[in-house]
Amino acid sequence: MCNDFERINKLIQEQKDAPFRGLDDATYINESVWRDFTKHKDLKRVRVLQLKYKYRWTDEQVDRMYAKSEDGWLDGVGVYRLFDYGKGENKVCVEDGVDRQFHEPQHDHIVSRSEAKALGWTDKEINDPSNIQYISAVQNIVKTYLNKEQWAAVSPTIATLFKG
Amino acid sequence: MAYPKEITDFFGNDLFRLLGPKADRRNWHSLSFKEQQARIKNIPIYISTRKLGKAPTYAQILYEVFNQLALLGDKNPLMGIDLPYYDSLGDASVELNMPILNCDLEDVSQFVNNAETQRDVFLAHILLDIVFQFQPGLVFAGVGRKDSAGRIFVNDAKHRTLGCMILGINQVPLYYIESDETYWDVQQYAAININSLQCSEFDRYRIRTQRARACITAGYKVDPEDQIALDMFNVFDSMGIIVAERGDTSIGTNAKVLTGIGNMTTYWRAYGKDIATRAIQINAQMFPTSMFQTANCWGLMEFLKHQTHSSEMELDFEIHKAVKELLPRDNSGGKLHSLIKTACKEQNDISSLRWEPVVIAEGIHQLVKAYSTADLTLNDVKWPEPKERYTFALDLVQ
Repeated sequence: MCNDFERINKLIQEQKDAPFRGLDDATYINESVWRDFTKHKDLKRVRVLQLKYKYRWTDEQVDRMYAKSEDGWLDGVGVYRLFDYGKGENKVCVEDGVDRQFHEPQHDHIVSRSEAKALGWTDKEINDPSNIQYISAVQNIVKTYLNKEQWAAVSPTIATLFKG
Repeated sequence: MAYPKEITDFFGNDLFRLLGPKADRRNWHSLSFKEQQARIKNIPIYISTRKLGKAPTYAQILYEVFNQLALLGDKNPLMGIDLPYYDSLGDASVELNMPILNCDLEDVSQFVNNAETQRDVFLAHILLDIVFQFQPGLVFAGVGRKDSAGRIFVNDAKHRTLGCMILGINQVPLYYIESDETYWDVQQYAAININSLQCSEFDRYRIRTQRARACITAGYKVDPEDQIALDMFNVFDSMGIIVAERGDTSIGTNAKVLTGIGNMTTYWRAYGKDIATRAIQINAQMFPTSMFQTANCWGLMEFLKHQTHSSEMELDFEIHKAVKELLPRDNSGGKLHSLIKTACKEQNDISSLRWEPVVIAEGIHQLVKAYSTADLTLNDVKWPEPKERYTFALDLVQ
């Protein structure tokens, strides 16, 4: 299932080149983001602008987040998977499934909110672009359930759990 | 008490449900200006009585009015107001120590004009609206004051009376009071010309439509303005557009409701039936669950006016397709003209627009040019003052 990356990467690239041309809130969030999109034609930027509204970022923070956000990620077996940054009508992987989890970008707090709170960080520090990264949904699932120490202890044993 | 039975059955003999406990009521004039304003703000401007059928009784209408007020709950503007009550006009005349109104056919030789309170003569109105279209059944009773010398000061119906006199008629119906106080002249004039409910654009359209139909049925010639109203009605009806009074919230906003009939009539006259009909059809089909936006229509008419493409049907289809590609939602009718106007204002650094229809037409032109793939002949819109024209580019994905 998750080996359909070539076709999906191609479709994501095609969608980036020929994005949806309608003013639709489910696709472009609001009129302001739509107008920004008409100038930059960049679906990744739409995603970053969504975080701008969520965390009340400045333009400088938007630029920082955009600059550090990758177009895709290289998995452990050497496959490069483009992120499906589009929303609404621009989304390529519309059906739930393993493939979608490998291409769906999710914003992740590098130091989790609960951990950062315990360390005494302010909300502004927690939600600053320096503490946020885009990772795939499948990576985020693993990160949600395991911390760094648990991962180090468990991950070498996982391969042995599969037959052959 | 002489309130209709339907009213007292529900609201109580002393209108308890509407006005609250009798002991708590205060006279309207005893309220402070601020208190009055707070209540005035809550009076519904318009109450729809369409649901009452074709010939509702006045008691049914009054019941509906009272009910709508009572449903406002804490915001009922009449709650706690002590309304005066009179058994009859005669009773009111005695209670208020004021003269009563009489009604008769009066000889125009007794008529005089109180020059201080009356306006002058609008001759075109007399000739065009009365003399040239004279119908005896439409000479409504005027209003005036008869003094002790037998003179009648006419405070309403000057033009009707003069129209009749031009046609040789020397007796007209008149309501009058008997008094030597000139106070009544200004009061009558103000009551008719200032306090009266003006005919709204919606009412004008509704009445003209009905009159056109009645004329056709009776075999009379249809007034050209009535014909326009009927033509518009036929287009609206075929497209499922509901024409409503401004402020009528009973229909909701999730439908093709048109409240700017006055503007639409103006545009219809300016652009003509064919272009107006096409613009209305395009707009209604593009946004079937949106309030009907007259501004979109205005811009479409201006755009269509300049087009010479060989197939009107193809052009209309391509406009529809292009706009829907930009605004796919059926309820986003308000966005089309607002997007265009905002782009123009921002890029020209202005807060108010001149040439609104041309601006909207220019936006539509840019949109069709960018989003249509058909081989269309598109002519530019024309700016009234080319040297001062606005330059702007609509935000589009190209």
